[in-house]
Amino acid sequence: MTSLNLRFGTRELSVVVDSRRAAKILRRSLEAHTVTDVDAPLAFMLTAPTGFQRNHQLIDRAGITLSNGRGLNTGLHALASHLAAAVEPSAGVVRVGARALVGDQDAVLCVAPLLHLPAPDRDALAALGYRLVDRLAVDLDIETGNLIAPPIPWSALRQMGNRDDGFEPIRVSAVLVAGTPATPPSRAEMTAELASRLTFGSAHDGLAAVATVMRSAKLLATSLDGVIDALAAVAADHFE
Amino acid sequence: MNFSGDAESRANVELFLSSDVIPVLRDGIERQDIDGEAVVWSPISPVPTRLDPVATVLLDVIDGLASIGEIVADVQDVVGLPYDVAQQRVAQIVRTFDDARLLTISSSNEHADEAIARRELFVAPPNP
Repeated sequence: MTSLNLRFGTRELSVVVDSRRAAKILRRSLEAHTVTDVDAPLAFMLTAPTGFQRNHQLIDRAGITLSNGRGLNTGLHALASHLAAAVEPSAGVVRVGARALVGDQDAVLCVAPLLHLPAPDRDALAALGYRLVDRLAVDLDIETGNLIAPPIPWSALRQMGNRDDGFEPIRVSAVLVAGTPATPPSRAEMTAELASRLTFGSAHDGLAAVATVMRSAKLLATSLDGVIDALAAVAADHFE
Repeated sequence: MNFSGDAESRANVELFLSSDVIPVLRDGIERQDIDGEAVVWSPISPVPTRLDPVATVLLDVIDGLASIGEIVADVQDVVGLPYDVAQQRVAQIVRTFDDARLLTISSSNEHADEAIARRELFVAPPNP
């Protein structure tokens, strides 16, 4: 096992990998962020494929699987995409702790613990035209509230995936939150909840961006295993 | 009499509610209104607070001119509540404002933007 301590601005975190090759690639790609004088809190753990086990497994510090797919490279790509959420966003953007499902026309935000437990069924999401972005935080344009995903900033890691997780700004059509479907929280409650998960940006900008999203997005409460059904309802709106 | 400062906030609020004093909102509060409810973020609070419709209306009434007694009387007149009930409701909302650190009497060592900058990036989700 190799632990890499990383520093992004004022924040520190560590990544544990069980593969020498993965450690070597990460050290080289993340050299500018690597620190040795700290014992940073664990953020992610990547287990490489070995023997008959051809899938990698990327978990967060709670042990929740974030990525489980064929090959080490896709695991490194997923890890890099998650780590990109630690890099300070560009001007005009705030970052909020939430997961994003991105389709052709729109994006849907999911607030934890949705999409953590149970693990998301990526095939079912794809059948509805959505893919899960490998990031635990989303970037929102302050002016428009549109979702933005800058590409992975480390080129060697960026090239390891089949697809770059960066994309053009896209409208947030819905916000899904865990709860009783019949009694979703108010838009103001959800605005406060999302804004309290702000990790980059000022209170002024963060509250403005989240409020812009919540004024226009559909708000749905769903059980933890009801994300697919809720998403189907969102997708059905596109055809009405 | 306007409060300002750094004294024990809760004690101040109790004194505040029993006195004929003028509540004053802190400068620099961020506010967004959605569907008749306000979301407010004090510069000395790490998180924003959502106010229900009644508290949102009262937020506008606190203009730095009206005393608690006058606000209670207004609530009594407009809503038609008995004076005691109006007083309790206003007291409850003023406590909410204090919890949200919206008042000049509210004290805190926190700073909103600093709290954001310190927030953990990858927090484990709560157990469902």
